[in-house]
Amino acid sequence: MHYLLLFTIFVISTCGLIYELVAGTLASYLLGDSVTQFSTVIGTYLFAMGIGSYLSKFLRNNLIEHFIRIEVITGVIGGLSSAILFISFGYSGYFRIILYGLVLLTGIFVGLEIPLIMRILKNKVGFRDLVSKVFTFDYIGALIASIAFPMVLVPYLNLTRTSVLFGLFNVGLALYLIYYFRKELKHPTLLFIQASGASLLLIFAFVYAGRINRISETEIYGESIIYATNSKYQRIVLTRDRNAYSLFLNNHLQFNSRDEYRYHEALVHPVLSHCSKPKNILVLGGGDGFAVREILKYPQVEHITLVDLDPKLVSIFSKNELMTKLNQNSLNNPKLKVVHADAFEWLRNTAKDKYDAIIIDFPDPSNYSVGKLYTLSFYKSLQRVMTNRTLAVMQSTSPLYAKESFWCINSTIEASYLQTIPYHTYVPSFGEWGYILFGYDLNELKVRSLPKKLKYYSNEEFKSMKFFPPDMQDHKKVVNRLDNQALIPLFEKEWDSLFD
Amino acid sequence: MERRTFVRYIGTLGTVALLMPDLLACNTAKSKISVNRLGAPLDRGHLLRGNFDFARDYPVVKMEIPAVIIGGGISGLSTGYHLQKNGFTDFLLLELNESVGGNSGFGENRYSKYPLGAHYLSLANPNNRALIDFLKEQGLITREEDGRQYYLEDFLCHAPDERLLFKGVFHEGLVPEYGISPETHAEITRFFDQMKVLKEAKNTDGIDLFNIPISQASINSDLEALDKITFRDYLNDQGYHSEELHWFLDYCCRDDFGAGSDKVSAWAGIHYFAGRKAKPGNTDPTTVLTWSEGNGFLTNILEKSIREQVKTNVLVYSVEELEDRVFVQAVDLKTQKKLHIHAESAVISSPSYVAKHILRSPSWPQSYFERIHHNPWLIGIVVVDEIPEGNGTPLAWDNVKFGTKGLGYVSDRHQEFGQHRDKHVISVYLALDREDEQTERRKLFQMTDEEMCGLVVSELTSMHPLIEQHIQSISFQRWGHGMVTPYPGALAKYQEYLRLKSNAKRVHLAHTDYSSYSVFEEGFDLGLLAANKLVNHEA
Repeated sequence: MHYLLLFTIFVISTCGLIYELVAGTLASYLLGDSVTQFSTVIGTYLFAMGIGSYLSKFLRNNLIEHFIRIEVITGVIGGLSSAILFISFGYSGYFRIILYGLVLLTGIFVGLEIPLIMRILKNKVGFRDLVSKVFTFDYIGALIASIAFPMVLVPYLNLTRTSVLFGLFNVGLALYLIYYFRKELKHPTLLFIQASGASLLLIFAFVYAGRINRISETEIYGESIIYATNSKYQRIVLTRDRNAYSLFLNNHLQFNSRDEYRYHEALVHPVLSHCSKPKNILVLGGGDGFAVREILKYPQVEHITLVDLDPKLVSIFSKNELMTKLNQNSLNNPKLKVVHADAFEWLRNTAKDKYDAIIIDFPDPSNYSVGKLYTLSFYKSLQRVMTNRTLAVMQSTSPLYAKESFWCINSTIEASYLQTIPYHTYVPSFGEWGYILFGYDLNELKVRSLPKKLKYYSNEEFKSMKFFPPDMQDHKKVVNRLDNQALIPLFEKEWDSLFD
Repeated sequence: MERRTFVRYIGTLGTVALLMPDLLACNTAKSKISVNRLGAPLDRGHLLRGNFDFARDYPVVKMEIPAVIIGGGISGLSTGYHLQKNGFTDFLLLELNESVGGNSGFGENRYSKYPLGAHYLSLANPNNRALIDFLKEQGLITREEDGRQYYLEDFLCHAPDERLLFKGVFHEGLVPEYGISPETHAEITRFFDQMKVLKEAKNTDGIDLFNIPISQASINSDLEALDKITFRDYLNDQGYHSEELHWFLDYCCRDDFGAGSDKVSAWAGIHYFAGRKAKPGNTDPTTVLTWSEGNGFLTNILEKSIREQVKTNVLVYSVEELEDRVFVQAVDLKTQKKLHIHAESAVISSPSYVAKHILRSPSWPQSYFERIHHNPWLIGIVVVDEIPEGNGTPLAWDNVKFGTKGLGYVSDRHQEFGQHRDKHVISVYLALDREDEQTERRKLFQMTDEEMCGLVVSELTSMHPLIEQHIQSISFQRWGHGMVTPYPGALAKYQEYLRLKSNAKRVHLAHTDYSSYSVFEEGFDLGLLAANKLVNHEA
């Protein structure tokens, strides 16, 4: 009896501390700024335990039964907390609310445990001895948990499995207590069913927790992966390095939050600032919402249509609070209409309107599938939604690292009877990057309006962006067509040679 | 059981139970694949062998009409299209099957359309004005400049068009050129140079010896001599011995004629290479036009122009050429009526083995229809959730393995404009030419689903060892008679056709069986020539 109760205290204290550590680690892992995250999580947790202690006085009679039930609930909530947090990070706009809600809930139940134990034991052990033993074992449990957590549990089990495992300890304890007190309990069978159900749920979660694990990918990127998922079309990975975020699609870097403003300002403003009446804007690709953020800086803009293949990507950037902060919630702007379609098919089969400006932000032409979006046939389809005055721009890979590819895109656009203005800029995380502005008639292009307070782009800057030094020039004039896809081998050759 | 296997298993059971009661399952070593059979056409054709007891009590409908076309393949449709174009609208086209198209028919599943036979059109030879005009009219050729045709990019075969699994790596193109000896390389170069010379070779009348359509070629005794030997004998005579070149040429013959280079006429083998002289302005001359539905795309265009005149589900069982008319007897399988049609002239666009049964004409003796050969084909349309990546060139339109007897597979969704998603649909082509054609045909029709499944799966597995677990379903299209196979004597047969044709009065034959080369261009041309005859006769 004596040892059993001491063992009980040991288990509940270990579990309690593990849940706290899991929540703190996860919050700083996903949100960054570990001092803030750990402080607020621990503070909330301790406060919740206080609430639990306070609430314990309302529990009367059948204290053992209450205790067992609390163990089951704590096991399930604490055990699943990590999985819930990982999943809600990608899918919900209320990550912080869920985080602190879970911490609060777990804390309350953990807070109920010690006062209840003491009340159960108070008639069996002398008060002085009781207080001393309970707290001794409580602190020993905490020490063991805090050492095991960073050294054994996270490296070998990962966060999700760790919390599930300790949830199982909680529930296991409940099962043992049910067995031990089976004669004193009023509803031993009901309790047994509840506890077994909970342990089955946790065992299931333990088996499948491997799928939620992302730590294994960390090494590929050299940064911590805070979110990773497979959509129907691509692998989406978000990483965090201190306070900067990066997005990778199929292992290709799409942006780094430190310098993406350079890339996106250079993508959007040359077209929009030269556009005489930018009312109706089309964005192809660009499901991250950054191009839309820049477009919204023009008050004249009335409608934006964003066509992106991948609903999952758009959903992350319209719901996740870190991402909506980065794109200034542009994807939830009432001026925006999102179409989930393949851009080429949409242009061929669905598009009806004409657009004043078109921003194209497709992935690089690294395979034959994406390569179709850089063919003569694509630019001809694009002309269905262009007027004589429409200005368009396309991100066109690096004119420094892949100059033949860059100029191949330029020649292809020209071959579709459009005029082009190629330009480039420096984006630290990408290197020298290129764009091609095009339209039917660019002869009398002049600046109409430019938003104030841009971080990087200016009319003066644009003049220098149009200058190409010799190491970025190429004069081959290869045209990329559906039936030759000449761009793909060029692109492969040039980027491969960079890593030789 | 793995979870995905289990899910597929349940999915299969569900489909079988709910949607298609006749769907069976094919158990292979590793997986359970749902299978079904397409193509009632062949079973219908066999009605001709019966005594029409089923139609004994059908009422008879009599009609008189200036012209009847029998058969709705490309030749028949082209006849109708050209008649219509010349203002000759009073005709009927009778087709046995549910839909027209013949070898150029197509099907469709949840994911994609797919061809049932012919799946591409080569670029037009500059002399083939009628075809060029047709393609221009349809917007497939956008303009001509300096004698060069500019094709609409959209339907040219997208890159990569072909890949060959050779020495463990997929290489672009089908000619095995990677890592070969200098001797072999020299031989391959010599062969193509020789074909280039033959492309330009002319008869004493100044007309090309090899041309497509064949009606625009001029035949001399050299060609007649080539027609007496097999293509392989010719190659050996010319001193070609490399294994790689021989395999490639054998593959080409099996792919285009349904029989290997050891069986087809040397004339036909050379014609395959020397007959093509397209001069496109905006693409490679060897590129082809292709669509998910294959030449079904072209079938649709032709059919649309004569929808009023096409009657499907009509079994023609007798065509008699009389002094003053042609008497056609048929059964309309749908309305269950007998048709007695009196026509001024008829165009037989049926294959030789059907024409032989139904035609009685003084101009076309029964013996003419003998010795026209067709090997059977089996096509498996396979839905697969993933094609395991190999080394080298990624999935192409046409995918072939070096050194095998198989023809590989065609990716039916290759011409889509969007990014690839969900399933692949691929067509596996098997030319059954191991034994004589009657034996192969009998074997094909006795094959169980498991046997067909085994053939198709092993063809795929030879290229992608791990593909089997990804296969979801296979639909089988069985062709008892594939395209005409030009054995030695095929050119002589065509000459016989020309002789008989010049004396024909009211019954004309337009089908690629009679020109010994089964490609769209030939069917289109034969239809054009037949239509011209009727129009001139009328005038």
